[in-house]
Amino acid sequence: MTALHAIPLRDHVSAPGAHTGVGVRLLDLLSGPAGRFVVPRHGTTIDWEHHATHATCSEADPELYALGALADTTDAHRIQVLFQLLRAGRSGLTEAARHTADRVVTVLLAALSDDDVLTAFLALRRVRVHRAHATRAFATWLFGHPALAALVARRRPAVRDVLDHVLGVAVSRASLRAIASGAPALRLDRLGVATEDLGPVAAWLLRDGSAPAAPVAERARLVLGSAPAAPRPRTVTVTNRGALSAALVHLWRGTPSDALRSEVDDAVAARAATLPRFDGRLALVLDTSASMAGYGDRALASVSQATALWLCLSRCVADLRLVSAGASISHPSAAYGLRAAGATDLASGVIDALRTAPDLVAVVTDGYETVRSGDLARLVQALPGAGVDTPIVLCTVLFTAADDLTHRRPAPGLPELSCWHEDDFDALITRLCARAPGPVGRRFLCDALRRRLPEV
Amino acid sequence: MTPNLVSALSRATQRVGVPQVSGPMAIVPLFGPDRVGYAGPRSGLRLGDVHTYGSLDVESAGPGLCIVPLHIGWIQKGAQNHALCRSLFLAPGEKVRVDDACCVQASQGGYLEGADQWFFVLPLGVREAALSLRGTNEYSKLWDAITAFNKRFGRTRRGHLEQVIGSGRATLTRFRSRFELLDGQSGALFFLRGALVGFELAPNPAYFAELWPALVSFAYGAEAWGLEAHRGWQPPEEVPLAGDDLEALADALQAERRAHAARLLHAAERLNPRALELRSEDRCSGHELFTAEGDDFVGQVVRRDDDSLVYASLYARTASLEALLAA
Repeated sequence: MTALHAIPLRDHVSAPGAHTGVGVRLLDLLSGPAGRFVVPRHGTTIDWEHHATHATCSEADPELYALGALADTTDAHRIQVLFQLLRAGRSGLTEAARHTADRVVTVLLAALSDDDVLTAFLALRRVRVHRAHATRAFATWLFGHPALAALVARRRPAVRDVLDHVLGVAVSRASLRAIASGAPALRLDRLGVATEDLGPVAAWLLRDGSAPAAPVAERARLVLGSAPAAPRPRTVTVTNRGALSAALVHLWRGTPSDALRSEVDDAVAARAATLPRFDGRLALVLDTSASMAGYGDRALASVSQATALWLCLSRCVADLRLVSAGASISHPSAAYGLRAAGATDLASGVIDALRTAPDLVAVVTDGYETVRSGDLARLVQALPGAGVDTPIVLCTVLFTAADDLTHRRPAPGLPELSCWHEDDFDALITRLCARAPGPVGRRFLCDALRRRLPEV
Repeated sequence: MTPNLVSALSRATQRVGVPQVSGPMAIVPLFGPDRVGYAGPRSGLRLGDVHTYGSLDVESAGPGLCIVPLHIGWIQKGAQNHALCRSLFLAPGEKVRVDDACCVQASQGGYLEGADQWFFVLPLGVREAALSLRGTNEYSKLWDAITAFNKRFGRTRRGHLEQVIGSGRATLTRFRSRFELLDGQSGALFFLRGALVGFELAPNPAYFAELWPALVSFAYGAEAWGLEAHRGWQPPEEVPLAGDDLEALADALQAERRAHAARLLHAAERLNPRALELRSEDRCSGHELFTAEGDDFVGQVVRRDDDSLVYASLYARTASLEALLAA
């Protein structure tokens, strides 16, 4: 599955002091191009890109790496994750990490296309690695495949090559002859794999008889990543970018009422329930300046989406410290009557945020820095020399994904995220809080990705 | 200049705000009294009939005295676009025929898209020419100045102002976000490359809020855009911020900002009220309109009989501006 709401992370890791923990490196890898992953029919090599980075991340943190398959990424990356999980040994892993790896492998086998699955196992064969968990995974996947006949009819040589590799040639052939004749296939029985009614398929794999009937052409596949969203509007307005921002706009434009406030509260609760939890301290610099009010067709667009994000974070973050840049606000209840005003002083906001000793600073803004534009960039550049290495992430609220960001990148040296629709919040918060250093960030990312692990 | 107006200019503002800087332009917001009895240029002023090229009606559209902003112009679909060379008074309900307006399109090919009438203020680079041609009833009188202005933007040398402010409208209106209007703001000092190029003052914050988009986007923003997009302006090298810890950095940042604000206010002293010669142009309801001319600045101001300055639009002469842009 390609990422539905690709949120490009322009991570300028050249910024001194930038945190580059395994989680961040992994997300950066998975959000970038995957490149090729081709197992040539002949030869001894594999044509693959980014293999080394995948291997490094896998070795550095096997459990987190496995969960990376649930990030918003492409199947091209997920093939590599599957390969690494099959290749790697499990000794030395905790019980929890093994369990995670097994679950992720099962999920990937259900999510990836048949061709992608075969590619990963063919690669395993090419590097001549045998693993008991890989054997069990392939056997379970193959003989439980709902469209096995169609698969084998189409990819007989590849299926047989992989089966020969995981079971060994002799055991593979003996198992297939047993299945073809209706006898028990002992090795597969020990793996817990059922093989009844697969005689014609086994015979076909042995190049015996005709291709079996294929009543099911292909299997349904799991969808991975953040929760699939409703279709995005073709014409974007200020009130069709999510229920919460729409409720805020109506509250601000209309006559305030309990009903409108309740609508905001309900929308916050509904959205926050879908978002990952961060148990560290996040300092949020919220741009509430006059430019956030916008004008014309985009009036209230920026401030409503930024406020929506703030209100969600107030539910999802254990220790949220708010710094407003513009109109002064301090508590979520102030959102009801928020009016964007004042000038944008992001540099001072970041300083105030850093004073709270957070794990992480997020700057949510439309990108227009008016109190001496350039000050934030210079401050960011000077922080490492002052002994400050707290990660700072710029989160730009857009009207649509096609916004022109000229003059809206106040600190190009900072990692940047963006969102324009409320459905982007999950991916944004995941990418944001993953940048918290040390165990806090790792724990968050593992939990956030594990939430997405479906039952299979 | 009368001593009373000198003191009036000095008393015109109660508070000077924190400078805002984006690209080559800087603005220092000014905060003055919230005077009542004035109609704003959007809510209290309407373009009426256009009789012929250069001749049109302006009408009061609300209660209160309307001080028609200096060099206001209108873009209309299906009609020639005009700008005024001078400010004037409109009493409540009054309609005035203006025969010395400038047509800001040189030919039929220049109609703008868009159904709405919207107003602008002439870009800085053509304002002195417009002021000097007040009273001249010739609709094409500003075309040479507009042509020269367009040339600076690499546009065809025609007297079509919309070649810049029309085609560049999307870029220019972003100056409304790059410089934020503040609550209670009733005026501003405008700077390009650190030099004062404009002093704009309104009777009250509501009036200024209605005028602000036209000032920041078209009157002054157009020149800033020209520097950025067509003259290769680059931000000056700055000494990096330095400090041993966060608090030292915070102190260093504030010290830099104070120094920068001081530099801007020092640059603002280039507008010397004592060096302006005033010529009375109009009177209405206890208000007097003057044209002000000095070596480096020209424009118009309105003084009340109580000696208070309620409106000002004073800007750099074209020669000064061009020297600044070419530096």
